[in-house]
Amino acid sequence: MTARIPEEYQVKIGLEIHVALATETKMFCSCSTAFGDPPNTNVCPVCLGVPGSLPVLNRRAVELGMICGLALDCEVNPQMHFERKNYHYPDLAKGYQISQLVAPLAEGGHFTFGVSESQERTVRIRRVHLEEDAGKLLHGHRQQTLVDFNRCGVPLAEIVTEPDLHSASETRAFLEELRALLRAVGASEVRMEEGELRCDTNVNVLDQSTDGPKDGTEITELKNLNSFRGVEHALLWEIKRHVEALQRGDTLTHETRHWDEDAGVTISARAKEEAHDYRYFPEPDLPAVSLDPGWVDRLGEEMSETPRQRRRRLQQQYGVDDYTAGVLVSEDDLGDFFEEAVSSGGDPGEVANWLMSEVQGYLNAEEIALHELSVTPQQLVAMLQLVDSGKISGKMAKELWPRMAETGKDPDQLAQEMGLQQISDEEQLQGVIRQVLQEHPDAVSDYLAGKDRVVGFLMGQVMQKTQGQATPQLANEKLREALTEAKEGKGEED
Amino acid sequence: MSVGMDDVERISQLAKLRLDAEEKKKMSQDLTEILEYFAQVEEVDTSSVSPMFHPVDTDNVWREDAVSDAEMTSEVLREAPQTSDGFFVVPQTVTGAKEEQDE
Ligand SMILES: [Zn+2]
Repeated sequence: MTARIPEEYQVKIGLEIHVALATETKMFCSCSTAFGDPPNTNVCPVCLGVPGSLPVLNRRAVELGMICGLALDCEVNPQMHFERKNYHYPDLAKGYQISQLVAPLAEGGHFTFGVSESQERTVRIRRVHLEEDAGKLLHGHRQQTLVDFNRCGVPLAEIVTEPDLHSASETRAFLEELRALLRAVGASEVRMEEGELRCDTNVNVLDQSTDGPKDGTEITELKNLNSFRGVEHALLWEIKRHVEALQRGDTLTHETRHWDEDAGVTISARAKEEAHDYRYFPEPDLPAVSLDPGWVDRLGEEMSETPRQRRRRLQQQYGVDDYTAGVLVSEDDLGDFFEEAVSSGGDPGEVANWLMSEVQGYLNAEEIALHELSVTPQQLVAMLQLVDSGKISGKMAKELWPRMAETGKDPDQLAQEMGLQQISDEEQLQGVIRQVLQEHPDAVSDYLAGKDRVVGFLMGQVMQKTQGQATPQLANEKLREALTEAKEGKGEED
Repeated sequence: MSVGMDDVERISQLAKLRLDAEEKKKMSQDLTEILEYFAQVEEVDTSSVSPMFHPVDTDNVWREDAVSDAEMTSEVLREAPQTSDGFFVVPQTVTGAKEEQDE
């Protein structure tokens, strides 16, 4: 379902992205952030909002938040503080969420990402601020809602973009590359299946021709999307709705909508009886925080290479093409494996080829991740060297690889165990060929009568006799030599 | 400065407080008085004072990122009106209602 969008229309999309920071403990208490523990086992008076309890800020959460900000080219504010955002809902026991409004952690950045192999786009980042997550609600039977506060208080970075995205697919590309960035710099593991990245999107459509409404359609807020696919599909649907509205001269109303994954449509949230009023005020339980410029500088210097920087470096340093470099940085451990293999003597092109075909094929088939593989980069290189030196054929390597992956054994040992060995010994091959020629005198006389095609048949016999282990090129060469000799011998007889 | 009945109604809704007519009237009077009292602050000339975000001027107060288990699951669940398999049980929330309030 793709909306046909008239040229004079411009789609504007802005995002608010919540990312769970990679800390061991919650933002304001020492409870674990572990996912999947039994309900309400990681709770304490602070995250349950027991009166009299006091929050104490997790230094690591601030540090990871700063890393987020720096990775997005933001300025880290020299001083930040927290506000209370008041609302009553069962997922938040204390009746307010601690967030940042006036003086957030970082502001004014940008992020450049690839929309296609040759096209990049830059999105401005308005701000990055810290806040705590809410608990999880499960909708049980018999009109009950079940509450688990394990997630309540988990540190989040909220990343707010300017409305610089212009299509559903572009928004998806942005989010995918943002995920890779946050993983690479270690700010978050961004485990999508654990809801570590959730996204609100604001979308509207402008008519840039002179007779269109000046500001286009009113903004729709799509809340709480937790998959890239969900974001893309919800936006496609919503953009179509806005375009159709503009075409009939309607500008819609400002509203919040939800994406119904099963029905594949967005649905209006119930009409609000009153507008949001979070009655923000400075959090009295937390003093302001000074972010020492020396600390910020040090984090900036220590920060890992971003995927974009690495992609460029891989191309320059190893001569791989842009597509290959893009695949290698899409998961950070793939790039690490590649670089380690090359540094232990692998040819960059060969290693990259293997990683992208056989290795990834195996991982996909087995549904495991690269780090779960017991094969080391050095072992992969050793296997490629067996091919290069002619000890095994490329075909044998493909047979050898899955066994290596399963067992983690060294390739030369495993090749021996599996009887995979190319016969490259000339004398041995000549012996086999002599035998084949003796067993097939008819084929030989056909050849002598000028039927060149029987060479193929004889080659097949040689390969069969060696159980496919003859080096094909060498076998072919020796076979032709033997046949030529036979021809000359016959000539002499005549 | 006065806090009218409309304001009281709105604030009580936001605070999820149910007030009867008598209470609303009293609240309106009390809140008006409180705000008038505080309004005296506005008479002070602050043109040469830089904004203050927090009354307490302390150095950064941190916690290191180390887990400590409060081990109070059974204790807190015991305080709840209703629980089920370790969950707190609350009246059903309407789909979509959450997102109106939470973002
Ligand atoms: Zn806690």
